[in-house]
Amino acid sequence: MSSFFGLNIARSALTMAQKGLDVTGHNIANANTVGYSRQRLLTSAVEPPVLGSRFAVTSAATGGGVKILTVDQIRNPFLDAQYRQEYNLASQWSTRAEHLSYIESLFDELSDTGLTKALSQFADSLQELSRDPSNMEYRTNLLQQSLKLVETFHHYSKQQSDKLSELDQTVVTLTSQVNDITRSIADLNKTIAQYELGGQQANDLRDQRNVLLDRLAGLIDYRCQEDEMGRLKVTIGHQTLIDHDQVRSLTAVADQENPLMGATDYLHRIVFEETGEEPLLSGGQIKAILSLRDGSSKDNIGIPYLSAQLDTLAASLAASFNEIHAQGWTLPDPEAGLPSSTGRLFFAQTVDEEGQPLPIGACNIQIDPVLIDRISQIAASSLPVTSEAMSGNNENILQLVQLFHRQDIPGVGSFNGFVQSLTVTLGIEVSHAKTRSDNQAVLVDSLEQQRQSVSGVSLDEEMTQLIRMQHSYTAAARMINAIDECLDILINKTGLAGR
Amino acid sequence: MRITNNMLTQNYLNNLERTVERMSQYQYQMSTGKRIRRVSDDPIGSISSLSIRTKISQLNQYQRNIDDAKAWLTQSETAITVLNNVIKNMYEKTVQAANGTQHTSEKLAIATELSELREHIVQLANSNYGNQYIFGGYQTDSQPITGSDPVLYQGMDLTNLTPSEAEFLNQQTRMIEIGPGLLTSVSIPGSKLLGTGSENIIQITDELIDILRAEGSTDEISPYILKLQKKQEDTLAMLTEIGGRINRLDLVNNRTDQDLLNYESVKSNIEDVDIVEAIMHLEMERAVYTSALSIGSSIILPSLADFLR
Repeated sequence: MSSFFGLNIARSALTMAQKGLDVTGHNIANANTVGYSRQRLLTSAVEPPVLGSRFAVTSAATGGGVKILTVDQIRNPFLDAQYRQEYNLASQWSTRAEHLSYIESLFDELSDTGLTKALSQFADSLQELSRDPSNMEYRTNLLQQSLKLVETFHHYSKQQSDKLSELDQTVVTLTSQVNDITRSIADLNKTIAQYELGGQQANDLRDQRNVLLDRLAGLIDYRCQEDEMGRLKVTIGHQTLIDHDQVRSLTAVADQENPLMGATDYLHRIVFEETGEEPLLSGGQIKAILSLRDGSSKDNIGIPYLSAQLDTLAASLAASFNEIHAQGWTLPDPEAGLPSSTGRLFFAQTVDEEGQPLPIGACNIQIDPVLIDRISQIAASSLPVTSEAMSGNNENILQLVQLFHRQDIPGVGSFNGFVQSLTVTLGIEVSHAKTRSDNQAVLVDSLEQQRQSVSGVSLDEEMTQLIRMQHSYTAAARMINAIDECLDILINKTGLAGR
Repeated sequence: MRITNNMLTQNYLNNLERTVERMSQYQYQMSTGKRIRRVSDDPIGSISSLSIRTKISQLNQYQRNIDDAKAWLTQSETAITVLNNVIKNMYEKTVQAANGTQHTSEKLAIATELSELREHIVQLANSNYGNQYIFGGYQTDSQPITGSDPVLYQGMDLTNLTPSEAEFLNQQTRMIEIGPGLLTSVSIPGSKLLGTGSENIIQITDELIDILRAEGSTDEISPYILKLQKKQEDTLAMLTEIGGRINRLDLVNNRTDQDLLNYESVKSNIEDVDIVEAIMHLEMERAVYTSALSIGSSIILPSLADFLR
């Protein structure tokens, strides 16, 4: 056994303590770094050098000190997978809650400016007119209220349409975000592989990659797997998104028809750039935005559904109102040279080039311009109005008033009931989304807590570690001193008998 | 379980955030007095709230309609009461004239009086409420009674009508809605007021005047006593009917007022916040908030580094 064997042991101790201090220092420096997992020095005792000598070693063999195996990262990949799953859902629900909440504020029926109020004031103005059907002030009032109603419809419709455009734009933005992240992950994959070729662990690079994978989980629902060779594969459904350093990027093509009435632009569809196939998007922010943008049924409420409901209301109102109004007789208008007539429509009905009636919706419902011009054309009477007799006939107005009590109007049942039902459906949907979002937030917090518990840096712990390493270093230094003194005696003081 | 500094601070922040969110909700309630800001705050309560708002708005309109209806009927009642007195006067004069002891000059004087009363009846038939003529049937914009000989109603001679024309005129009453689907008639058409065919009061009066001016005999005058008596009965019947309608309107009005009160109270229960309760909640949350702040700061501040040499 070498005389300097002891020094070697002490030197290994010193190196280990220094390295330990470095690792502790690194942990402390990165205590607040997002996604950082605490690192620990992995050491093992050096075996006594028994093997490799030609002769059996008979004296007690001692170990050769400490060797540094690697700097290890303390992280639980299972927790990571769970976290990403729940975070994906949390992002989805919180995005949905946020946007639906905004849409709800557009349907402000609990205030005095909503559709309910406009309908109610319109009905009231009809009642007023029934009390004096030829009164020009009451007629003007009815016209004003009807213009206000029509304008409310337009306003709601425009808000929906604007929101749809905004959501569509968000789809494009998120798609490019996904591409940025996947590109970065692929680059990191390559770098990590190169780094780890030397046998070291690329702890900090892996941390960076985990942060990116977390962010990606917020956007889309994916599966990721690392094989024995250390190659990471990310898939959406059965389609590959990232394969080690190769990325299949996504793009948004504008070829999906805009379902809103009167819209001429196209919405964006997300596809793989090279093949044009559609990825199976089933969770995360992107899914939430897509379902809000495309949801068109009662089980899948989105802007198209809400818009369609408003359109149904506008169409039913116009059709049923016009039907009754056309049966009535207008006042004679000597100034405009118009006699009392029947068949006058209240809400304008436009036709296309072939004379087919165009559908009426919330975006295009209008009062017939002839009526706006001459209020005499409001048909209050049930019989022709000559210059004197019949001007007090309010029977047609009374029929129109009844419209607001009826529960059997085709398409909507009752006007007020329909608006209420739509408002409450939306309200319940928002409330549901908020609840799910809150619940998911709790889950995500709890998983993050567990991740932090495993991988987070505790400054108290690092302080303690610091002290340990310090003592270790001091003790190792002492040991060197001791051996030095021994060797000193051996070298300088032995064999100098009599000098 | 291993706890790190970050976990402590993160927890601290999360819980503070939740408390602040609740505080902000109560603060909103207190400053607006409303418990629900959006339908999603209480979807079930909102269902009632929305339908009640519509009902309240409708009831307010019905109150206005009922007031209008009452005014029409009251105006009609007044005019018909006067008409009744006029006919009573005519009746007394006719009885006087039928008395065999009357001289020619007295009969002529009565004829002149009757002529004046006839004009009064025409005026009454042209009564108005605001800018509408209440006895005109559907002709409410211009005087229904025109002409003098013959007197025309809506341009038609009431003594010379076919049965369908008479029915057409008698059906023309102003209807107003005083409750959901509840229509009430608020006018009497002039054709009913004055009578048609041989029952027409103007016609009766004119005939009587002619007879008196031609120094008619008692035998010629006395049938008119019965006719005028019948006319009085008809007029009283109309008055009774209108009185009944006004009473009904009062009942409906009271019920509408009561309904309004009830609905307003239910709406308030759903939408408005109990201020006392809100203040209590707010204070509780504030206490939680301040204690969380103080305790939190005493936990997250110190670390081992403070205690090592």
